[in-house]
Amino acid sequence: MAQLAFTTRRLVCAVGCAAALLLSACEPLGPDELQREVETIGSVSAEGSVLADQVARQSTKRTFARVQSRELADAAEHSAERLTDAHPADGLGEPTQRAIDLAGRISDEIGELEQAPDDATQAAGIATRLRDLSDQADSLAGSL
Amino acid sequence: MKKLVQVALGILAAIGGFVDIGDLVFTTQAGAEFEFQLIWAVIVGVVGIVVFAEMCGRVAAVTGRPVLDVVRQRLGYGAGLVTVIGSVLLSFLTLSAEVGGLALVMELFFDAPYATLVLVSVLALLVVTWILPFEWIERVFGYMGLALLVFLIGAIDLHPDWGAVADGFVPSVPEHSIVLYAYFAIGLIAAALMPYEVYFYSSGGVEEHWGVKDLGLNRANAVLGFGLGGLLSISVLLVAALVWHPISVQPDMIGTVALGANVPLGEAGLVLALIGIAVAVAGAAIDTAFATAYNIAQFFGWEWGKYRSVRVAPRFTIAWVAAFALGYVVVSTGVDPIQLTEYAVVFSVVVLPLTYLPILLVARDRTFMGEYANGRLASALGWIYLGVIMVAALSAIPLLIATNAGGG
Repeated sequence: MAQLAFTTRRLVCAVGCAAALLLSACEPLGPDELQREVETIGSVSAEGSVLADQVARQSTKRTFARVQSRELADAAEHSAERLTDAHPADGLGEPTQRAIDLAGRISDEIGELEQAPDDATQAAGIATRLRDLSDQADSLAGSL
Repeated sequence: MKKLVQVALGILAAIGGFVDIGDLVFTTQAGAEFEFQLIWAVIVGVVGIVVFAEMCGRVAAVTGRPVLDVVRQRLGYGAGLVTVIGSVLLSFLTLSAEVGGLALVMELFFDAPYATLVLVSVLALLVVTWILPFEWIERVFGYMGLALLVFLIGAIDLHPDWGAVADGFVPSVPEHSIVLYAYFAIGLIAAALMPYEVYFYSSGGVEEHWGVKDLGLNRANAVLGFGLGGLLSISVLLVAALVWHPISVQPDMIGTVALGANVPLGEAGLVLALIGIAVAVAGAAIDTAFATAYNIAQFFGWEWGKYRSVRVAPRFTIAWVAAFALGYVVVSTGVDPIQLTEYAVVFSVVVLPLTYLPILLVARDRTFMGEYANGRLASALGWIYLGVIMVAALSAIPLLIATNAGGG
C-alpha cells in the first residue's frame, strides 16, 4: 500500500513537472529575457570585433582565430534560433525581429573571419562592421 | 631560495583549486562584469586556503596522517562516509570537466575534432601520471602553470588605473545587481577553498614524507604556493576587467580568456596564455584524479601513494586510472565541461564544512599535536574562516539558482 502511494506520488510529481515545463515553453518572451538575449548578441559581436582586430594586425594564431570565430558565429546563430522559436509578448515582435536580424548579420560577419583567418584586410573591415553591430545591439537592449 | 623552489606542491594544489577550467572562465566573467570590484573576494579565499592548508600540512607532518583520516577519526564513520562520497563526487565531476577543458584548449591549438581531442587528452594525462614520479608531477605542472603569469604582464601592459585596482581590495556596494555580485563573490571565495585542494595537499605532504623538520617547508608551500595561485587568479581578473568590461563582453568560453592576453601582448601572449591554461587544466585534472583516489583508498584503509609501486598499492592505482577513464566517459556524452564545474558546486556545499571543521579541531588539539598545535592566531583565523565557509556553503546553491548560474 505504501509502495502504491509512493508510486502515485511520483507519477503526480512527474506529470506536474511535465506540465510546468510545457507551460514555461509556451510562456511569451518578455522584455527582460529579450534584453538578455540582445546583450548576449552584442557581447558576441564585441568579442568578434576584438578577434578581428587581432587578425587585422596579424598578431594572433591562425588556428586560434578560426576556432574562436567558429564558436562565436555558432553562439550568434544559436541566439537567432532561440529568438526565432520564441513567442514575443505584445509589442515585442518588432524588436525581436531586429534582434534576429542582428544576430544573423553578426554570425555571417564572424563566419567570414572563420573562412579567412589570415586575411588582414578583410578582417579590418569585419572588425569595423562588428563594432557597429555591437553598438546597434546595445541601443536595442537599452530601448527595451 | 631552496624553499622557494620547493613550493611546487602548494602551487599545483592551488592551480587545481582556483585556476582550473571552470574558475578561469568564472574569474574572467567576474572581472568583465564587476571590473576590479571583486579582487577582495579572491584575497579572502586565498587567505582562507593558506590558513587551512598550513594546518592540514602541519597535521600531516606531525602525525603522518592526511585530512581524510582526520575527518574519519573526529567525525566518525557515518559523517566520514558522507564526506568521502561528497568529496569523491566533487573531485570526479571536476576531473571530468578538466579532461573536457584540456580538449577545448587543444582544439584552440590544433582545430581537430573535439571527440578525438578528449581521447588524446585523457591518454596523455594517463601516460604522464603513470610515468612521472610524484615530485616531478608537482614540478612540471606547478612551475609550468606559472606561464599564466602572462596575464599579470598583460594587465601591467594595459596600464590600469592602480587607484581603482587598489579600491578592489576592499568590498564595495556594486552599481548594479547586488545578487549577481554576491554570487561572484561567494564563487571566488569557494573556488579557493575547494576541499580537494587540502586532500591533495595533505596527501602530497605524506607522499613527500614530511616530518616535523619540514614544518617550515609546509608554511612556505601554503603561503607562497597558494599565494602564487591567488596572484594568477587576480591577474586573470585584471585582464578581464581591462579588456572585456569596457566593451560589455560576457565571457563564457575558454578562448575568450586566452584572447584577453592576446590583446596586450600579441601572438606571444596568446601562445603563453594557451600553454599556461593547458598546463593548469592538466594539473587540475591530475590533482582531482589523485584526490579521488586518495579519498577512496584512505577511507577504506587501502595502501596508497604514488611513491608506492603498483604491486604495493594496486587498488589506489586502479582508483586513479578508473577516475580518468570514467571522466572520459562523462565528457564523451557531450556535456559542457564548464557547466560541469557549476554542478560540482552542489557537492562542495556538503563537503566544505565536513572537511574543514575536523582539520581545525585536530590542529588545535594539544593532546594530539603537542607543541605543534595551533597558536591563538591560527585558531582564531580558523574559526573565522569556518564561519565564512558556512556562509559560502549555505548561500552557494540559492545564489546559483537566483542568478541562473551567473547568467542574470
